[in-house]
Amino acid sequence: MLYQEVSQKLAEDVSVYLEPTTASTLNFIDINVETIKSAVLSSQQVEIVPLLSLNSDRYKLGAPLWCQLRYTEGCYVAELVELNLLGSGVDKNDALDDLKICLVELLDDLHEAGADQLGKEPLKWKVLLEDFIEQR
Amino acid sequence: MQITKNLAVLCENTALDKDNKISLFNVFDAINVSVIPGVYPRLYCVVNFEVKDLPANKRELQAQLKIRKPGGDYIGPGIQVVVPVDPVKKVQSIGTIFEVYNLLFSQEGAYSAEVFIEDNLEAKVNFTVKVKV
Repeated sequence: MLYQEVSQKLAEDVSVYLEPTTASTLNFIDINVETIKSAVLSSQQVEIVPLLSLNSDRYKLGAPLWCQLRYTEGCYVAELVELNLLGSGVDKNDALDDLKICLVELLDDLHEAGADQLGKEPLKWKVLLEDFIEQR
Repeated sequence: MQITKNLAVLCENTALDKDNKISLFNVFDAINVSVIPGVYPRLYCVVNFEVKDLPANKRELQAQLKIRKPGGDYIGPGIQVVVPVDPVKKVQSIGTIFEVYNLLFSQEGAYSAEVFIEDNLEAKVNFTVKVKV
């Protein structure tokens, strides 16, 4: 009986020391992965890619238009620097499609406005685009 | 005297190299015990402060670590260490590592490790204790 009591007391005493573990609720891993991913992708050089179509039933490209494509701040950005046009998206194709939409909108605007209504910059864009884009 | 906290963490182990660089291993903010009361055998509380405008001729500062229980009371008397300071420097960084052995938790809940410099609370690290079988 005495043995049982002693043994039980010992088991209770020992149990408080059993396998304590620590944990962290701070999500370091995800933060690091995101930071590294962003740093790696941002460090990639700007790609120069051709636009071969406009996804439009009104306009078609007579020659490829070259745009810049880069990853920045969590998304891809496609840019036609000379036209001051930007498209963005979660991946490269998304960014290029967005840029095409912007380009078609710009073409519509330029066509609607007469040459005398356009400022110096838009007029330059119109001249530039006439070399590349044809109406269907 | 103006004290600003740079760092205060709890971790499972530390190492200080010859160039006075510290490595912290397994920084945590939760302790899981199998039963209550439970004992955590060894933890470290690492703190670093920026100290400005020391009182004249002050060559050391008293640093104390106390662990506060969920009810608000402290566990035991705490740990006291003396941190040497340079009385000439206008701004300096001071740090200390508190080594805590056999910390007894009598209940689950939100605890905090509080660091006092010259009896003023300067840093607090919150952590939770849970029973996890």
